[in-house]
Order: sequence, then structure tokens, then C-alpha cells
Amino acid sequence: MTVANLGEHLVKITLVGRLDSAGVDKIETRFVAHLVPAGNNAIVDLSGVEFVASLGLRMFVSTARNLSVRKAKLALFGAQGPVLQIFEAVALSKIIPICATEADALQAVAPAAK
Amino acid sequence: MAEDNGSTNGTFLGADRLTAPVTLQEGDVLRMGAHFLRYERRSRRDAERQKAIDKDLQKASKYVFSLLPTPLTEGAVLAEWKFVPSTDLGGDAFGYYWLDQDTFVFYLLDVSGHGAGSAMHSVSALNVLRQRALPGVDFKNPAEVLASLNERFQMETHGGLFFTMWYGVYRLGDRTLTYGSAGHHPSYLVPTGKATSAPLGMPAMMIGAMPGMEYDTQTVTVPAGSAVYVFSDGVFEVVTMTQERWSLDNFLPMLLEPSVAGSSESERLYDGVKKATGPGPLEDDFSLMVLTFP
Repeated sequence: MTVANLGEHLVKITLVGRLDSAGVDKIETRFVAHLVPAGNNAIVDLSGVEFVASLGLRMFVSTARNLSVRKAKLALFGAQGPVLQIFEAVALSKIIPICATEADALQAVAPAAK
Repeated sequence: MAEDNGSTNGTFLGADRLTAPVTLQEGDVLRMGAHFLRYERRSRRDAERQKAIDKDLQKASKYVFSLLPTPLTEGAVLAEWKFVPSTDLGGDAFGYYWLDQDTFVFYLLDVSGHGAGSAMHSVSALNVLRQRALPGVDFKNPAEVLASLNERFQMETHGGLFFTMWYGVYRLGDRTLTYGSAGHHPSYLVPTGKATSAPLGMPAMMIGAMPGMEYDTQTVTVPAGSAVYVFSDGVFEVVTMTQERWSLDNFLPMLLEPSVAGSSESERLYDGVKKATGPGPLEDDFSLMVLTFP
């Protein structure tokens, strides 16, 4: 897991490998810590993720809901093949924007124009 | 210290066969054929405490099993199942019952994760379904049941847990099956002869992930002699002996394989998966129901 600050309250997280029980155990605390307490908007690059199990889904959903309380947003992008199929099967896009590209994800978390 | 004294099939530490004595580290696992031994060091007090915890877990496991339905071997719907938790307590649960003379309900749910917390959550949901304790909900309507469970089991008030679920309602009179799904992969309808399998499912949000979700239902006709297979993802998300990671596509052809004399369908499928994965526990709970409609 790598984290890059893209600006004030905007973070990009890149995940790789498998988000199964063992994979989520390794990153969940850091993933949440980088986003939720500060209420950071976040985009998550999943182009290097091969598989997402229910615990991975739980991490994304829980984080998105916690960010929502803090008026911040989470968007995922770059998901491929089996990962995208899982997201579609659970209709994850009803809660979290699932974007094709980083630019789309940035747009999804950008503050609404006043 | 561990040493193999010339066994035919060898003793393995991880992927390595022992060819000389080795000093074991805490947590190392030795494999001898189908047997696994984990090396742990504990004080007598810790060992006794662990023994008491194990005993409690076994009691809890017995309780979970006691909530599962007995197989139906005669009548207008036949039902049998296989449930093998990956740890002492699993996060899967399932059930079926005749709601009235014409209506047979069956369902399976899979809580995220496994272990004691997930098991408690699955038992809570299972008891609600068994007792039909959803006021004002028509249990013949999968969409109503799923939506009501979703409001009742929101993850924020249930330890951050959610579950996927498949819920089906079979009407004997016109042989229709109406079903709904919440974040669960499809179940499969296999007509007699096993020439094809038809997926029964639709994309939808897991139970507890977000309030206010609406769920769809679909209806199919069930030909005489068909079977419906309902199962958790632990059935197919496995790693084989050759380190291949399976998906649903790897498992589905097994549904169409011939029945085995003297073995139930659920047992046949469990044996098939275990044959691919080899000895040792599966990564996730194995839960599979087979409903046959004569």
C-alpha cells in the first residue's frame, strides 16, 4: 500500500495484490488511519489488485460511510476483470463511485461547484 | 526439534521436505500426509485456559449446528446440505421451511469474515428468519425480506459486519421459484439430466452496507426433477494443491457431473472441492444446500 498526498485533504492510495482476509489484515488499520480521522477525500488505485473478498468490500464500505459523515468522499478506480465483476455483483457503485481512470476518480471526489 | 525418521511420504515444513533435523519456530506447521501439526509453546496455565476456550467454542459450534434444518427426504421438496466451518465457528447460516402448504422458503447468508463475531451475527440473522420476526414483512416476498433485514442489521450498529444473502420462495401450485439476492453470487437451477445450469441471481447491495436499499425479485419455472444449488463463496474461492485460485467458473462444471451412488449431492461436491484443494481446512466456510423439486 502506498499513499500520496495530492493536495489539501486529498489523498491517493495505491493497493496491490489480494484483498482477502490476510491482505486486508495487513493494510486496514493504515488505510483507515490515512483517511478517516482527517476526513480526507481519497482516490484508490486498484489496477494492481487481483481479488477482493468480503473483508475488502467491508473495508471500502466502512471507510466510505465514515468519510461521508465527515463530508469527505472515496472513489475507486482501475479495477479490472474479477475485481470489477465482484463490485458489479454487489452493486458497490450505489455507495462508492467506481471509476475507470484516475481523472474520473478525481472528478468524483472533487467538491461540488457552488 | 523435528526430524523425519525415513517415512515413505515425507514430513514437510511449509513447502520443504525435511531431510535433516530442524529447530521449529513458534507457529510452524508440519505436514505428514493428511495430518497437520502446529508447533506452539505455552505455560500450563495458558494451555488450560486455551482448553477451556476451545471447549466453549465447541459448545457454540454445536449450538450453531442445532439451528440448521434437518434434511428433507420425502415430500414435494427434498433438501440436504453440507456445512463445514473453516474455524470452530463459521459466518455462514442457512435454512428452509414450509411457510404454508403451498409455499417453501429457503435461504443462505454469509457474514463477512468468520470466527466468533461473524458466527454471532449470522446466528442473530438466522434466528430472525427462523422466527419470522420481521413485523409487517411478507415472507413470500424476497425483496421485502431483504430490505427489512437490511434496515435491521446495519453494519454501524452490528460491529461493522454485513452479510450477503440469497432468498428463494417456491410455490408448489404453479412450480414457480421467486428469488432475491443481496450481494450474493447466483444460485443455480439444474434440470434433471444435468445438461445445463441456469444462474439465479442479480446485482444488489449486501445486507447492512447502506440503509434504504431496495431489492429486486425474479421468477422462474422449476421443471420436475430439477435441483437448485445454493452455496456460499467458500465453496469455490479455494486454492488448489497446484496453487491455482479458483473462482465460480472453476466450480460450476462440477454441478453438472453425474451423481455418485451412496453419496448425497452436497457430499459429492464437497469431496470434489477437497480433492482439488488437498488435505487441511478450507480458507472459508463451506456451506451448500441442494433443493430438489420432484
